[in-house]
Amino acid sequence: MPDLTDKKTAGEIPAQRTETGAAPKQEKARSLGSDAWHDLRRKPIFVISALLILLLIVIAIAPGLFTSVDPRAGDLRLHYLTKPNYSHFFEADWFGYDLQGRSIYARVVYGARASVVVGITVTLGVTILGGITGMLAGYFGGWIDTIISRVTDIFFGIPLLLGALVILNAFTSRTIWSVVFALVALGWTQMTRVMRGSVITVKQADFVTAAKALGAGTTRILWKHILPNAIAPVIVVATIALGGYIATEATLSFLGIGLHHARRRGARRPRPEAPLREEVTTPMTTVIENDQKSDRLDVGTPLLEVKDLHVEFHTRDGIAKAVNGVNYSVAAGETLAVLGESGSGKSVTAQTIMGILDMPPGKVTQGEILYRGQDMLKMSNEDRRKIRGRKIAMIFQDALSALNPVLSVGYQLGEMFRVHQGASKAEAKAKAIELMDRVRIPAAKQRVNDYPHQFSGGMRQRIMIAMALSLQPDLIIADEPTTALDVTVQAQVMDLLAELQAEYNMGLILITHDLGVVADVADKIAVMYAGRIVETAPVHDLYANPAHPYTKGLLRSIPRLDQKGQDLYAIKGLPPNLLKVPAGCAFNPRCDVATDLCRTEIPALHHVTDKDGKELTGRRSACHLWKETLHG
Amino acid sequence: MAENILEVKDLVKHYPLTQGILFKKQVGAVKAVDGISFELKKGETLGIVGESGCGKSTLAKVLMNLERATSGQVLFKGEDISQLSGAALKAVRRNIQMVFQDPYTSLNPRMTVGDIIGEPFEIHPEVAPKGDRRKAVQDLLDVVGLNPEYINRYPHQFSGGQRQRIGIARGLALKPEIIICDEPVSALDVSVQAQVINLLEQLQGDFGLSYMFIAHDLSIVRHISDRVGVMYLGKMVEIGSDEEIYENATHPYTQALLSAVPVPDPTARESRDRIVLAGDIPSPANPPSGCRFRTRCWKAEDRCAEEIPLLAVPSVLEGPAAHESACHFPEVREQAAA
Amino acid sequence: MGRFVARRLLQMIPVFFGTTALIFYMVHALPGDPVAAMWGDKAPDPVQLAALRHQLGFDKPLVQQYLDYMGKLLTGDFGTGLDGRPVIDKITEALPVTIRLALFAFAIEIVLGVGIGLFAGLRRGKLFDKGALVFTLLLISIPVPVLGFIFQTVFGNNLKWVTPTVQDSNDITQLVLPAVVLGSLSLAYVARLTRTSIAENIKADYVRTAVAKGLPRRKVIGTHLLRNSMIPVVTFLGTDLGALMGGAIVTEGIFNVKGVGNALFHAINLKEGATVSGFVAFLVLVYLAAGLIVDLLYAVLDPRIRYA
Repeated sequence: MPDLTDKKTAGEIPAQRTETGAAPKQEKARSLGSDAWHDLRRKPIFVISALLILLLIVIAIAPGLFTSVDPRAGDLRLHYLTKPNYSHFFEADWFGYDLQGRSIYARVVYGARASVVVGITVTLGVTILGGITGMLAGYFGGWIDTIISRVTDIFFGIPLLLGALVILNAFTSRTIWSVVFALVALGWTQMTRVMRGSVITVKQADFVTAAKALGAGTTRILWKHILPNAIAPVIVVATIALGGYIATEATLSFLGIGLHHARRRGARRPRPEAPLREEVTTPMTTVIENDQKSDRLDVGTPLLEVKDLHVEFHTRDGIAKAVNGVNYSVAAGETLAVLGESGSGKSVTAQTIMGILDMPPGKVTQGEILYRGQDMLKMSNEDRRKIRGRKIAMIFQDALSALNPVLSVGYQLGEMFRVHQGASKAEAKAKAIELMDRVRIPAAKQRVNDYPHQFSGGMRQRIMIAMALSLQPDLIIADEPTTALDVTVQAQVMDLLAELQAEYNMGLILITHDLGVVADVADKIAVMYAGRIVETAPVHDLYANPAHPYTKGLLRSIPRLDQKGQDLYAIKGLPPNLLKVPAGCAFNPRCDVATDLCRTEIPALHHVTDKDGKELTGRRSACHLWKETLHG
Repeated sequence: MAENILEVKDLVKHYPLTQGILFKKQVGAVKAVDGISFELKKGETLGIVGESGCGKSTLAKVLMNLERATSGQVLFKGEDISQLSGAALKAVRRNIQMVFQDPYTSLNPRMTVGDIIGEPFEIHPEVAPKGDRRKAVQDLLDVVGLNPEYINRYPHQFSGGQRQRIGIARGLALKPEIIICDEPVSALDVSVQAQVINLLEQLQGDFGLSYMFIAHDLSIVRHISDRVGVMYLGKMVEIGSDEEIYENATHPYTQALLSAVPVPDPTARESRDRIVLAGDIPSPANPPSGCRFRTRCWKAEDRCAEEIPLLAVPSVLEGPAAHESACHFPEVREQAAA
Repeated sequence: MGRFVARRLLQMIPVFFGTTALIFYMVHALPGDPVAAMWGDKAPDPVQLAALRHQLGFDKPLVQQYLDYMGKLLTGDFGTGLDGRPVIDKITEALPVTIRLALFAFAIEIVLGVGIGLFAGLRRGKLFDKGALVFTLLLISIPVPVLGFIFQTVFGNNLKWVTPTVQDSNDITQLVLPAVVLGSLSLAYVARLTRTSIAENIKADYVRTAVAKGLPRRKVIGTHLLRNSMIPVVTFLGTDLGALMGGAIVTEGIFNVKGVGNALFHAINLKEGATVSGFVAFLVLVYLAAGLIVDLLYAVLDPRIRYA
């Protein structure tokens, strides 16, 4: 049986942000199990399958309930004299009689019984035996693992059916239990392997380390921490194996080597896959991001303009409004920093611009994205594709996962020239080497055929940058380009990016949560919260004098030297759940100065003026109390 | 000055590298922690900073006895705990606890919050009698700022910041004297980080805890720490009070690290004098000879390749610059105060 | 790479000996005396019986018998069946038929399995995906004998497109039906594995990068998605090829294909220890070779596993 375990097992329900933080509502506590149960009960396919399996179990326990006929008692005449009567439900002649005059219906019932008993006992046997050996091998490792692994290798060399035939031939009188014995003896190693792999993954989890740090003994760790978390894939494999063992039993019977009495025929078998089948639509419950009305940053001729963009995600729990009317623009040579926390909508906006948003579950409901005045959302796929990579390129946060692990970096760099410019293989490679030199990869010529995992984190990110810049695009979108890097390497990478940006006069959208990085490189800043832009300002103005309480709070919560020994200023509460964004200003539950107005009315992105009422260029704030925030 | 609650002497942790088809033979070792000494005083916070691969997380694991030290001593109140096992180790664990980096993997998803925080009591039943445990767990929840009624919830029902509070509550349950925090806020949103830092500081005051605070974020380390140690490639390169390190760093690596930290102040952009280091951290399996930083250091001379600089107070320096630094050419950088 | 192959080859040695020993023990633990069976219904003469047993080495301890057997095996002597024919002859006679059948079935499962899996994975949740799910579930649920009978009855007896059983095992057209039956179960598994793998990898960051680079869809799928997704499928295909080579007992039985499975089945029923042991030793070698090929393919597909 191959391992068809789906990645999404019950243990990996994606974390949901169900908390609103302030004012905890007393929800009825539901356990993980009952959550899953609740979800399953709503699926008709689950209910039907569960009932079928239940029926088979009842048949296995009490076949007498379904037929009073002895499946072995036959009267030869019956086969010729009686036709199947398909309206005689549950009666001896429902399916007719076989050549020996035995009731086919009764044989099906008793045959099903044998199948179910063999299937369940074998599955239980291999799960217990394999589970224990797998847990020992996976947890203890060392020589225990070596021995168990070698033994499983040996058993894996023996085909199941073949081995079962040989073993069963050794039994002079074959009963159901000899079949069970043969299948368990040959099948347990499959579970050992699954369990071993699962345990090895789980034992590295921090919560196991935490338990060890508390002084927990081996038994407790295995029983309380490892087993409950490692068992899920074993159960999935076991349910699939259950079907496999029933089929094997049927095949053995067919070969005349399985059970002799009441051989059953037909394909009545439980379908264990059904209840655990992959959900057809994957619930989108990862962190979802969310934006606001009417702000425009007007500097020079905009290269890219985002106008009133709205993006939603349709999830199992409702519609998450990730982006709610975002407006911004970037000019050539300009750096716009989009600042925000997880769930603010900063990345979703960027992905929408690039056209790499997963749709579904994502959906653009409103707005325009103008590249040099043309709305990209209205373009054909082919036209958009030609802009991607060539005119607008993107740098991702985690270069290790963003680069294809099985292709050399030279190939991945050269691909840009081959696809967009029709370069030959040799030309593409030469250009790749040139690019790698440009981003200061040492010994580029020798390393061009290396794979991403052979480079250090900093070099990988530089390769990412080289790839994005290869065709000298007009605009670069960098999504947290240095977050995954070490501080000293961050500086190298940001310097390189700034240098190349200046050289090619590119626009740059820098998406980040790091106020330090922003201060270093940005020309102007857009601060996002819950899918809206809450403040925009030229970089110096924003740091010197924020006009939104959220920005103010963020700046104040950074540790400062002059506050040492005191409490850090902390914004209270948690970032909002996008499924239920607070009414009015989304920030109001966490805001120190919120009024009733803030709780009811969504603030517009106001123009901001100085104390004398003179408009401040490029400054906007989506706060009812921007005046007080800015001047008071 | 307060007494030393923890003393680390010449601690080494090597992971052997083996090779061979049939018989494994050791061909080298990853020198994750390679001879580190420092002490932690009662009630203080010692910050440990360094980049990935410098060995700071391995150090935490060895101190927690989750990994056995290759050599060296870890003295808790004068007693070497690095070689303990069995009941003696279990008893020591009551005194040293840990807060983990990733609030999503450090809590068992199949256990309720009550079970998670109550587990220490089950392992060490002498701490809280059975009848009082539920109350004790609820008190702990209250202490870390969570609603005590959440006791029956599962970790996935909480946000990252709240989970980190649960992890802290678990660490506090045994009333330890030392808590080792391994990057406790780096996985959290910016606006939530400050909340957790404040909580940690408040708990330190309330319970008289000593912290070892491991992080890569120099600003946060400075905020919370009394003293700071800087690690590079398995070695401590400089250690001193926060003022000594942040204002008067004498080791070039510390200076580079400090200068590279982005400052949230755009006006400093032009005036800042950043040291951009060339290259990456070398492999700890094959560290450079002599001073390990020499391959990236702008001051390196022949001597640095031949002679390992010792962590000691340089005799040539005075005032706050005179603190332990492992450099042959220690000096305070001129424009360091940006 | 060379070191990796060497290590794998060394690891195979204990597995080979372990597996053959296990099978040898199982075969010889079979009740009934094959030597006595040579006399048929007549009572054997005890003196002759003992002499024959001694001649065949059946009076030695089992361990000694195994060691003798392995000693001969290593010189290429697979032993002699009770009918006096060398086992190696039986193997070489049955093997070409089985190889032909196995490769045929293998080709069907790769082309159809990967094809269905790819399209289902790309159209997650759409009609084709759901259809593929039901279709593969059906294939997995129906035991091979039943499927074989249905196909035989429908295509052989009723429609008369093909002969119900194989008359000439060397005629490739007659192997179509058995190959379809033999490949159907694995086809379902391959389709499901491919689908899962595609559906998972399509969300990977590097696929997103490929789209962001402005690659055409065909290139995104062909160059970036498919290759990465084939890694788990290749594992299954490798072990399955090993299984197809030796385990087609049922299909070969139904369609009367004179292949390895058929010969083995008869040998087991006749309790011909030497023949069974010989075949199994040979099959274990095929299994191990398949395993090695999988590992090598793995290393070719995924540079991260290319060992030093």
